[in-house]
Amino acid sequence: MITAGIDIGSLTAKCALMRDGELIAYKVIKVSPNLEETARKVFQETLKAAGIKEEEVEKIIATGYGRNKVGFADKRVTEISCHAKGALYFIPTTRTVVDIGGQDSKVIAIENGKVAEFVMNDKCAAGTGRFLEVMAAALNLKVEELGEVAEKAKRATKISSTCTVFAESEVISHLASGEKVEDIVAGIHEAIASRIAAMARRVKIEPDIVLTGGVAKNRAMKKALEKEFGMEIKTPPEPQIVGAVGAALFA
Amino acid sequence: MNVGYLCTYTPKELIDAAGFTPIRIFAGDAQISLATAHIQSYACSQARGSFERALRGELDVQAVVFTRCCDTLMRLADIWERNTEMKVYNLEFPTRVEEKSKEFYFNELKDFVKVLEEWGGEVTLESLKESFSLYYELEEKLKKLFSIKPDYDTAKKVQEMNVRDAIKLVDERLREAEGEDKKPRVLITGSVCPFVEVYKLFEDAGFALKDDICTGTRFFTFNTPPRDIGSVDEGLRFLVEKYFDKAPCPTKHFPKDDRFNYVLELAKDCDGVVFLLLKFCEPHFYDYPQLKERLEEMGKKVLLLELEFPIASYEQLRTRIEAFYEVIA
Amino acid sequence: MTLKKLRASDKMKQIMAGYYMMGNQAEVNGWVTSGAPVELLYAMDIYPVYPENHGALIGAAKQGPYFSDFAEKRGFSRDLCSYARCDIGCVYAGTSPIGGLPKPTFLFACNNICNTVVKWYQVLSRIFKVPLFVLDTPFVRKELKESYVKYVHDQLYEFVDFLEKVTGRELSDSKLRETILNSIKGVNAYSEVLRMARHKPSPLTCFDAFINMAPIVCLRGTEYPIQFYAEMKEELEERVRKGEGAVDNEEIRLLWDNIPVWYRLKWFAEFFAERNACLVADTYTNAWTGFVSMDKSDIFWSMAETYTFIYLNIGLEHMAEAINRLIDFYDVDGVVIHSNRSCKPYSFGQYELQKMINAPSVVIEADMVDSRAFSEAQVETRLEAFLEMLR
Ligand SMILES: Nc1ncnc2c1ncn2[C@@H]1O[C@H](COP(=O)(O)OP(=O)(O)OP(=O)(O)O)[C@@H](O)[C@H]1O
Ligand code: SF4
Ligand code: SF4
Ligand SMILES: [Mg+2]
Repeated sequence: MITAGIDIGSLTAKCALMRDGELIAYKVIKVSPNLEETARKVFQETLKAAGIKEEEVEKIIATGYGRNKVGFADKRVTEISCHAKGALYFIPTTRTVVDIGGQDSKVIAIENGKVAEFVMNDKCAAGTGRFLEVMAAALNLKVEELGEVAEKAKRATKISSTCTVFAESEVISHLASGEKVEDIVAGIHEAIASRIAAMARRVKIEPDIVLTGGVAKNRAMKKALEKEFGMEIKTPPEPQIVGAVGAALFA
Repeated sequence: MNVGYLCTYTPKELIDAAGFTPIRIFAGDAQISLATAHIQSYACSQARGSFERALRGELDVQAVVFTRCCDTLMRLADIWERNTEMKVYNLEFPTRVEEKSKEFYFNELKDFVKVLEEWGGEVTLESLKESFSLYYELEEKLKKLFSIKPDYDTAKKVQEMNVRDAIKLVDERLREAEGEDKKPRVLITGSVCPFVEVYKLFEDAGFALKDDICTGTRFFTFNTPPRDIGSVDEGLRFLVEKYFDKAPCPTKHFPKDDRFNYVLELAKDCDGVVFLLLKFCEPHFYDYPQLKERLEEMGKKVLLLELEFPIASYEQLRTRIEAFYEVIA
Repeated sequence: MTLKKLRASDKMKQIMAGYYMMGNQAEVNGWVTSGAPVELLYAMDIYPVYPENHGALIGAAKQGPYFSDFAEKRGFSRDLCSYARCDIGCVYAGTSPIGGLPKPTFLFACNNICNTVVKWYQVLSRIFKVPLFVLDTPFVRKELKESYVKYVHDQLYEFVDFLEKVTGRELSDSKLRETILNSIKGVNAYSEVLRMARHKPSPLTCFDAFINMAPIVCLRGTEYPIQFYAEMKEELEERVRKGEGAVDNEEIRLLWDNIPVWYRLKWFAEFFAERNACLVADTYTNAWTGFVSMDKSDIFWSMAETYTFIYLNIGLEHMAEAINRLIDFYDVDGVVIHSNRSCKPYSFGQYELQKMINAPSVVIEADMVDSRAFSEAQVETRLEAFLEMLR
């Protein structure tokens, strides 16, 4: 049986095609304002990559914050359940999932293969990919470069503001007072890691901890989190599509 | 044993007389992280920041007294108790500060003495007399120091040490203190601000300072002259009076609006007033609009600075304070 | 999706319209906080005005940000309680969805729900230049000490003097007893309505309880609630007889914590109904059911006890105990916790309570009146994930 999982996040849309529990193709694209169209597009592109016709797909499961806008889906499941399932698929020993996406970050505790508890960030964007994007822009860097830049740092500049708007001007004033860019970037990572760890402490954290979502591609973020948790963190080979894979498995 | 407290209405004299050291707890420099797991981010950063330090093990304090103050601290007591090894006690200072609440508070103090005894302390007539006179000495000396030139660094330090060492420190500072030339004077009013760099920003900008801050003059402004006491109970009655008549704070209710009158009086000889308020601090923010209006009616220029601890950008504050100076001077 | 409506809600609207009309005619009125001993006012024919209920009404009319703005423009911070902001905003605006509240003769704030009301009423007393009486109830973190009760008890006497002076009327003992009796009967009738949710499926949701709670708050001590809740109960019994639930195919039973999100009541009600989940009870309306133990011999003493040991004026251990009782009594599967930016005493401690209660829970962030603090997508995801987890 072929199933599709479509994860419409706040920044990116992801689609995963699975055949009898085997991942056969996936795609990640940027989200456009029309979510239904975005969903169609990422689905079609993935079909094309796999060389499969739409009729061959038996079930389509939508997840992510745009899940209710995917009219052609057979079922909708939240990204909490999907990330848990997806993480278990890639790393069966997963007990804690930390998903850092564009606008949300969440920590999910898993017991006996099921979601036992979860927490999400509050309304503000500190501690999410969005925060990283704003800071990268303020420093004239690409998000993809942040990890590398941070690794060059000798020390981390302290970023005290938790609010994105204030943090942005704080970063600018650090630049003005001559702080090194890499130290500031390292500071930003520390600030986010500390936010996430703080939130995570509201649930029971057990190893293995698995990091998912687009931000997981950033090595410096993983390191900063490992330091905060005092534990090793695992990442699946393609962390950004974990939710989509989980969705496809919900068929 | 060190007994921590957050609110200036806490009867430090009793703690000292019991043989313990009262230590004021402030928010620290570290980013608030551990506390976030226990209390929402819309609690003020004095509450969150103090608790953060407790969770990080930065406090050398074995017990904490929560004197009734605002809603946030009222709830923090339980949260604190559940997550630290410290003993926790809540002392119900009346919200209605007037003659009729005195008997109630007297009973609260009696209960508190019992608690201090359960903690292994002992309050005797002698120890109480000694603590009374030590604190009186400290308060008078701080008043003197501040009348020469406000010294927030010292004010902060004395709140974190034994009263005997505190007196020595103030003595030392008194020997060095020098007055200032005439400068435009600003009244800084607000809740707590243990980050002494902030006051420095005002001085750098060219202001002479006067304050109505919980970590500044409100800590030592008492108006009840010392008197001889013949028993512990008499001492407690003296404490009731002393604290009922201290520099008033917005977390209380005074039938004659003492709080407003107090600030308006302080502002009289100042050129401008700065509200140094902590984000999410309800008691102060409720007063702000009407108090500001009254101050402006007096012809005072007013500036609002909203802070969160730890302070993220001193530069941003500096710009605003300098601009305020330019408006006034 | 159409929600099942209770006939009682129409009746309630009539009663409350009457209540508001009474206000315009009343000679003497006092603005009072929701946790204040209103019996003393009704016993002296003083009309009580409830700014908090007015706030809820503004929230339900989705006018929170609009009226709050009038206060914010005057310098009141957006971080203050949104009931207070809206109330003060309406005063400055000179109107409200019901044309504003009648000007107060006096103000009466009891801090057994929060210290916020003390500050809020201080603001009002400076605006209206009318006397303010603060009834100060010590916080019962652990035990309810006799000294606390005595303190409150003495203030009640003082308050009677205050009322007599302000109104020139005299409190009659028999009238007070009658009012208190009515209050107890009303509270009992209301409790019985809430307890109907014990049935499976439950004939009512907490949204029905919220919508219909105004009479027990505003008219407690009069005949109206007794009659009204008795009728409401009959209607619910009818549903039970027919085996009809408030929600079709009730699969999951839930408990709500904190004040409702007034501007989203319908949205929440539909959200849960569509998913066969029923919020059968809540900590907010159940907080009103604790009055039953009025000792008739010393009514001032029992009043002092009752009003000091009120839900928001107690420590976390007491609160957890109360929630666990509800979890048990209503046999719920999970708890939905509203972390309400406006209400610090209700919200701080919720993270601890999560660890102290005997059911799984989820926290959603919002505000009871200020819709600017509400993010639909976030709330939806959290609640859906919670339901997925419970299934
Ligand atoms: N190569 C990369 N290196 C570093 N960061 C990256 C990279 N690719 C994506 N990101 C980060 O990942 C974020 C997007 O993550 P993701 O695709 O998981 O979000 P989303 O699912 O759309 O959002 P949400 O789950 O919050 O709705 C971006 O904000 C960006 O910061
Ligand atoms: S700063 Fe304000 S809110 Fe914070 S603890 Fe003090 S009085 Fe309470
Ligand atoms: S703070 Fe809470 S209890 Fe107080 S008035 Fe506002 S909503 Fe009501
Ligand atoms: Mg995502």
